[in-house]
Amino acid sequence: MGDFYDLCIVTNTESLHNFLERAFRLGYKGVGVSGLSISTRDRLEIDSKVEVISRLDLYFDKNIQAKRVLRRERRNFEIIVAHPKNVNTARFSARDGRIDIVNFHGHEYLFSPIQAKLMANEGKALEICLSHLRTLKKLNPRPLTRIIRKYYVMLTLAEEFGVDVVCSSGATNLYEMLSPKDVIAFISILGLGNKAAQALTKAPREILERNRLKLSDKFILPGVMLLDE
Amino acid sequence: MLVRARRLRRRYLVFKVETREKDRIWSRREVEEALISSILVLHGVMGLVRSHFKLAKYDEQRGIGILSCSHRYVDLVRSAILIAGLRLGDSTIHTIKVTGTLKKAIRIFNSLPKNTS
Repeated sequence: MGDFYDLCIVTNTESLHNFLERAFRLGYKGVGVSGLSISTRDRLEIDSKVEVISRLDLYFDKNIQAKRVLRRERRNFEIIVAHPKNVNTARFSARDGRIDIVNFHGHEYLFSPIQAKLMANEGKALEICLSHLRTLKKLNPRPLTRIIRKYYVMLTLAEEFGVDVVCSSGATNLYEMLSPKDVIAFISILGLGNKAAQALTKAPREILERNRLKLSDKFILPGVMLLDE
Repeated sequence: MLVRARRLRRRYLVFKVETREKDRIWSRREVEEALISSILVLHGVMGLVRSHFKLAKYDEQRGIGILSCSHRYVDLVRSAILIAGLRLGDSTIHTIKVTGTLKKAIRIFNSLPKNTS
C-alpha cells in the first residue's frame, strides 16, 4: 500500500523515543510531533527508522495573531496546521500560503461548501483527527453517531470538492496510536471510499516534500529554484 | 449443498488487545461483547448478520485472537475493531494480519510471543 504517516502526536522529548518505537511496530514511516521545531529535532539527534516531522499547531481567533506567529515561525516547522475558530480565520487559513493543513476540530460547522471550494483551489488539506473518538468513555449510540456524522459530512464534502484529506490519531499516549490499515478501513466506510489510503500516504507525503523543498536552500521564490550544476 | 460460486468466502483477522495496565487481562466474553457492540453501533443488526462475524479463537493471557468475517465486510470489521478498544477502557485493539485461510491465521497466532506491543 505504501508509506504511512501519522501527522499528529502530542508528546514531550523524553517520551518521543517510545512513540517512535511503537510507530515503527505499527508500520508508520513518519510521525508529526506537535510543537517540535526543526532546530530542537536536530539537536536531539534522533536515531530511528521512523521520520520525525516537526509540526506547529496554530490556534487563533484573529488573523493578526496568526500572522505574527507565522512571520516568526514559518521556517522553524515543516508543517503548519491551523485551527480556526470563526469564519474569518477559516477563510484566512484557506488563503494564506504559509498554512498547509486546516483542522476544524470542535468547529466542524466552519467546513462549509464555500470553505471546501476555497481550500481545494488553494491546495490546502483538511485534517481529520481521530482523537474525538476517545472522548467517548462508552459505546453509546447517540454520542458516537454525533461524532461519526461530523466526520461523514466533512469527508463527503471534501471528496465532492476535491479537497485533500489527511488523517491523524492525535495520540497523547502510546496506546492511542492506531494501526494505519484500521484507520484506512474506518475512513473508507465514512465516505472516502478508495481514496482513504491517500489520507495516510500520498497526501501527507506531498505536503512534506513541498515544504521541505521550500525550506531548503535551493528554493528562491515560487517557481524559481537553484539547479545543481 | 452450496455450489462453489455461492460458498461464503471468509477472511480471518488476527488481532491484539493492548492495555495500559500490563496486568489487566480481558476475558473472551468481554472482548467478544466489545467487538459485537461496536459492529452493532456502527452498522446495526443487518451489518452484523451480513458480515458473518465470529470470534474464532482468543487467548486471554496473550490478548491475541482470530476473527472471521465475510470477504466483503473486512473494512467494516476493521473499523469496528478500531473503536471496540473504547469499550474496554484504556485499551486499544488493532489488527495484526488479514489472511484468507484459517490455517495461516493460526500459524501467525501461534508465532506471536506474549509481549508484542
